[in-house]
Amino acid sequence: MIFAKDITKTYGDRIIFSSLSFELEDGLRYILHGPSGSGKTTLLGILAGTDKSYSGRIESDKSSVHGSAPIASLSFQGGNLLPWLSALDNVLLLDKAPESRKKAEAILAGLGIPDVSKYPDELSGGMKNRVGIARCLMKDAELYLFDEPFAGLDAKSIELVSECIIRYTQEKTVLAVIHDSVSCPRFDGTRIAFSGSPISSLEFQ
Amino acid sequence: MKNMSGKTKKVLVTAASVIFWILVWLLASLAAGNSLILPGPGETVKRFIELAGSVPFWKTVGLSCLRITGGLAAGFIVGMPLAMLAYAFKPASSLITPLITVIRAVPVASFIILALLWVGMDLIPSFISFLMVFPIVFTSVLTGLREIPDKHLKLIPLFGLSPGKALRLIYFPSVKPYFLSALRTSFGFSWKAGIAAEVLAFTPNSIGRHLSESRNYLETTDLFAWTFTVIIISLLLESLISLSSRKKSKHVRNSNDSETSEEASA
Repeated sequence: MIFAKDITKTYGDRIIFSSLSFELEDGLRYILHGPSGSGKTTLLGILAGTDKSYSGRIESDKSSVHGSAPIASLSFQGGNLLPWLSALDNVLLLDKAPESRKKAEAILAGLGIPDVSKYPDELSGGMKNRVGIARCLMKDAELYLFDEPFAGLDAKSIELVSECIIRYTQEKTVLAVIHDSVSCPRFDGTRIAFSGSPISSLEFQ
Repeated sequence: MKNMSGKTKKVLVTAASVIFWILVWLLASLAAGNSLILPGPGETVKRFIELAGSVPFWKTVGLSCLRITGGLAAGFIVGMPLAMLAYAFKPASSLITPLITVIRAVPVASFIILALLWVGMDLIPSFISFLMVFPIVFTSVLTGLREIPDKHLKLIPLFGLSPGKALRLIYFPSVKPYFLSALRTSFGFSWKAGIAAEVLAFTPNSIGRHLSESRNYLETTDLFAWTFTVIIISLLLESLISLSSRKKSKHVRNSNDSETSEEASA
């Protein structure tokens, strides 16, 4: 289980989350909806540990150290690739061991990236996003976070990407921000919506 | 082919304008009719070739280059770590920034004259070159560090990158364009200021001293020949830098260009 306790986050004068608490169960897939600018990306950043400017706690009961944060991996909106590294090297950011290389190539092939030697500025927006997803899947984590993984993809690619994510996150907890307009029947899960203004709880549907 | 002809055209246009200005120089020297006032291009090149045939010439050029690039290197060696320090600690940035502003605002000539009081004659060109380069390097590297997108920095904790890996994969590549532009600017500045320092300090075995002496003895042709030497070295250094920087930044910057030019030629 992953626990978010009393999360409060502000941007200047604006309060985004006010004493927000919720739990995520192990091995479940959650799909977060909400209007743009409501704080979905912010919540992912807090859960991933890349955003530290909030009050409250994110804890996992899996870790041997009581009360420590979960090991999380995050796929950024738009990929967030390093422009000076090839697609493959971006995915191999963590390590370049031969077995990692094999895994990376398998994931990239599964996501439909044929040429892994290309640089980000030679890739389309959808491709960059997919390379970012591949990098996220390379990390061995208990919580996988995806920010708009299907943005800019056609129906066939959505099918491909969702299949790949499902295959590599089995028995892991997944939280994905997916826009309402995207239809992806294969990628089902518990739907979550923000509730309150400022957001003080999550509605699980 | 289209590309080739475009390049050739550019070279031809450049050559034509160089020839035009040499002609202007020639006509002006003929009009002056006195090589003490304005020696012509022929005399200058002839004198330059004479000078270049002697061993002391190369010793002088070598020593001037050594002194000035020594100061340049010192500027980088001091400027880069200070920029990193200023990036990491706000108080360091507040402390160093006024110093940089002052160094930038003080005229080179003032520094040269002050340096005559402070440091040994041999060290003045290096010291001046250092003073020119240090603020450029500091400002560029600090700007480069501050311009690193936040989203790239987030990758460091997310993927648990070690400090060495973070430097190699994120910090260095981000700062590299700023570093190279600092290098390009620094070479020009330090070279010219360094020669000026040699002139004023009358540094032994220096290009600047020869410039100064040729003026004192009214050897205007020598003055021109030595100036010609300075220009040639400047051009050589500049092309050396643009060549190396082009090679290094090929991937990121030119990958799109090469794609389009391939398409165009296909």
